[in-house]
Amino acid sequence: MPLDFPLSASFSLAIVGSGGAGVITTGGLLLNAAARAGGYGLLTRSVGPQIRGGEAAALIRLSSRPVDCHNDSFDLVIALDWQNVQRFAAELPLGPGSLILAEETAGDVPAPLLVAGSRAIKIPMQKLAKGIPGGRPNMVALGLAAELIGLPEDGLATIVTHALAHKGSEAAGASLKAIAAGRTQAAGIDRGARTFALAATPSAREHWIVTGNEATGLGALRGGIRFVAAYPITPATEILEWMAPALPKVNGMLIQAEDELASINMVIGAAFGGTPAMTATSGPGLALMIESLGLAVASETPILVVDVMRNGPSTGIPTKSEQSDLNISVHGLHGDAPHLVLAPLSVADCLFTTQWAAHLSEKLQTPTIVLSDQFMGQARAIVDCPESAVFDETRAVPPPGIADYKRYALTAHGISPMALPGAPGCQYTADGLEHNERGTPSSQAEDHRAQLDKRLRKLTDHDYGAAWAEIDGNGDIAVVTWGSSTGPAREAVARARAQGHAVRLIAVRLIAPAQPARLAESLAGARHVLVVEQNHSGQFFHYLRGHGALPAEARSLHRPGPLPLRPGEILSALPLGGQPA
Amino acid sequence: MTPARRKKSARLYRVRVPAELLRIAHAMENEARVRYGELADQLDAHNNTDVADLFRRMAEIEALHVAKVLALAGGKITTPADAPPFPDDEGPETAATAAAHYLMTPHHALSIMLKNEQRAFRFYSRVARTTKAKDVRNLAQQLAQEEKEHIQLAQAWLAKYPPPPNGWDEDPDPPSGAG
Amino acid sequence: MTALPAASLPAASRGAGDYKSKVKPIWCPGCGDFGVLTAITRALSDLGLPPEQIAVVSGIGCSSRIPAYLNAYGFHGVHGRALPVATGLKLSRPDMTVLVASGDGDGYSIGGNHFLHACRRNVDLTYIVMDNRVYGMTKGQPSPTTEPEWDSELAPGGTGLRAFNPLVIALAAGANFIARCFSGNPIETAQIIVEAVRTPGFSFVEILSPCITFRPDEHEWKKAVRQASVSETSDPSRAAKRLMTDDGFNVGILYRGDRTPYQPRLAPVPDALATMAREFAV
Repeated sequence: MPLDFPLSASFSLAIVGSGGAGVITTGGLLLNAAARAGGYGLLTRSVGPQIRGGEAAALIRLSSRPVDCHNDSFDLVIALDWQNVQRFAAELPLGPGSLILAEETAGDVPAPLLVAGSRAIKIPMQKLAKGIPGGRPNMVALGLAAELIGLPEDGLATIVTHALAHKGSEAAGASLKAIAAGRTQAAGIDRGARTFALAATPSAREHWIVTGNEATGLGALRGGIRFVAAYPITPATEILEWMAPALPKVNGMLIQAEDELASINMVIGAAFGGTPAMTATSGPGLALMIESLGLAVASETPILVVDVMRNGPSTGIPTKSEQSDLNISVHGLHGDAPHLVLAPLSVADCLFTTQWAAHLSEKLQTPTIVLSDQFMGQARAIVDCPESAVFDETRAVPPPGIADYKRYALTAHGISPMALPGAPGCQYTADGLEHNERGTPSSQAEDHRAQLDKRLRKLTDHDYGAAWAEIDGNGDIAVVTWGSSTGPAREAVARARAQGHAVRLIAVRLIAPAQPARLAESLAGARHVLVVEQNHSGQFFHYLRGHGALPAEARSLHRPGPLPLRPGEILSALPLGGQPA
Repeated sequence: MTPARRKKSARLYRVRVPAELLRIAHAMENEARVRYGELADQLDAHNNTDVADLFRRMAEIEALHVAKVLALAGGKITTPADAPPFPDDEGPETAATAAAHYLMTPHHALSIMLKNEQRAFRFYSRVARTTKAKDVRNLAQQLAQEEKEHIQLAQAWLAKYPPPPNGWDEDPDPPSGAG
Repeated sequence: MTALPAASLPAASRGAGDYKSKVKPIWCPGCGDFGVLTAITRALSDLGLPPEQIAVVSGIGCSSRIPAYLNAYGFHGVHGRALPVATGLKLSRPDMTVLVASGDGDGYSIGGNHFLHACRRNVDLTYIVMDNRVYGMTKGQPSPTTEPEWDSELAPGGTGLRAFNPLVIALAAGANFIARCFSGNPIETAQIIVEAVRTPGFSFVEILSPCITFRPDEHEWKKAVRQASVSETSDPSRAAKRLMTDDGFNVGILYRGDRTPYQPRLAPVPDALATMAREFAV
């Protein structure tokens, strides 16, 4: 996939407002219209702590190529009002070329938004809306944006009409008139140097509009998950809301449990019975599940746990993204309890990674933690339809009529056939207690050693194939990253290449078991290695270091949430002058 | 209301001395003042500044009424520990918090104010009707007359804000979550 | 807490407003929890407690934000674990008046286990649960007290599960004081909270508190709520009988017992550590 990415090929805009202004809805309509026009893009939202009526910002990036992150700054800000906008000031980096279109009656543009020298123009959005029966200012704003981006009229009209269909034709008509009024206003604006026209790139694949959480849900179903027990928690709840009506359609079910301890144990119960099972949570919930994850390891019960990471520690910042649950996912279990940890690289990759994780859990009879995050989980993106992945191997079961069945038999590859309740002659008791090959509790040294070795061997001996990481490029400089940091890292690397530098990118999907040999191979010859991630302590960097997977001079670029990593800051950290930056 | 509470409440109407009525009036106006201030804060926190400002003005008006009653009482109000509760839980002039909505319009806020003043008027009228003491009756009538003026003020104010069209409480955006 | 005779209560030297912090609540306008905040501050004023002697412990949820809005020592803990935190605090600092604030999700779902044992243990706490029959903060999932037919995204068509009955559970588990209130009557609620605090042992106050955003149908609660026609009882079997015909909207004090609150007795001995060490000597 070509990664050259000229800046002018993308456009970033923010719509801000509060209390019923419809900021988020407007952003969504814009994204849908851009998708219809054949473009790519993504939409994230930032909101105040109020459940309704709070200040909100819809942050949108549109492009003729797929985008997985926000840009370094915004080209356009449309403000329906300025209420409490200082909450978002740090998330709205602007530059001298940025344009601010503000509601005329909303007062002065707040000073923090003007420090970069952006141009501000007042637009009478409310007045224009009042002049149209049923007209709303956010539709005028939509018209402004559509004109400045070059969105085709009929595509946007179809989207808006469809969205308002439930309200009757008058509402749709009023909105279209308001959009037209916005377009007329925008036509009169001098756009300066920064122009943009959304150009559809011919693509062999159809496009999807999807959030990471929705993609996770579909990936789970494709991976065979048919039982979900879970407890609501921000920002994972949308996975459950998507899966709840979907599961019955594939002969599955979703149960809202009383808490996370119940959730994971219900999942273990279903998996013991032979049904691929999953739960979804965030950091605080994962922390509660740790003991039972150990039970799944020791009893060799396949389960899938999706952690949509948010800012920690403890209650943290529930609505913001961070990559700070790597440590607990990999090291959190008491005892020596190896298991799988995977992390999707983008919104679209949530589908593949979750599906792969479900397959691996079943095949290797182990719990798998999938580390998604709030950014990917809740961002709505226009993506290429994910390729279908097919995994034809599932849980190994003993052949019928087997004599002297041993549930935890010591096999060469460490995977012991797992009898499903109901199979005659194979009754066994699964146990968190250490056990012998039959599953009988044992405190014997040789049994403990044999089972520990087996549970480790089955994971380390497995051939994970090429999907363990996405590796691209050659050169002296290598960027190693994971999860949602892949988006800005990939773009920084593309910019460096556009400047003539040779840079490699290694985005790791398989976090545990660590792959030091394969990582070292992919880094061979690189003189500068930069590990990029979004947390306070450089968790991935120290993890790789601990496994001896990094050269001694490797450096770490890490920063905690809540602000997203941006391509420019990663680019600045690359030693492009031949010296470490 | 328990039978005991109902009895206690009924006591409220059979006011014996003017000082008692002034204490009740003071509590009423003050509770109304505090409540308008709370509503102003709530609407401010939800970016509805038009209505927040309106509630703040109402609180200021109530503060004037509080001062007036205090002056009538000679500058001092004493509240006994076993003061009877109001019949409908909070004072007749206190806006119910449940009546607010983050998208409410000035019309809604002023409608609430009007209802509060009307209830206060009915309260003093009832005291005037049921009290056995002449000086209490006179005071109650005086306070009722003042409430009547407040009603007229509220009505005039409300006339400037016709009811909003249907759909005033529609928010195109979905709720946000945390937790 | 020792019951104070009415005569020794000071005429309100601190008004209800003195028990509010400077932090403005971010609950939706129209939220029932505002009524609960009014009730609690009024109750604290009526009790005449110095703010520094009050502790308010909560879990996670809209209701659990309340400690920040009160002028007291607050602890905003993790989901469902307010009762254990409060227990640890009260047992080690019996001089503090400890209130616990929770919601129906925090208190009856993830906190269910702790609820059972707090009732049984009978430490002198006042447990206030703001019940709106929904998970508000996570945008509208059913809670244990949600009606079985209530449609939601997570349980399309309703959970089909019988609703949890907190008063029945509290009575069976041994709570010493059980009451139900309605946030729309904050003064009456305040009076019940005063009684709850004054009654030694575990006092449980369930407050129906409508959620304007996710349960606008609960607007009708103010019509459904009514005073129980029978006054409080100290006989658990009478209380149980009353609960058999309770439709969930009777308000008032259901039950008040006389169980001694649990508080370990301290028995200090002079020179204890030295004596303990000597016991190891050969």
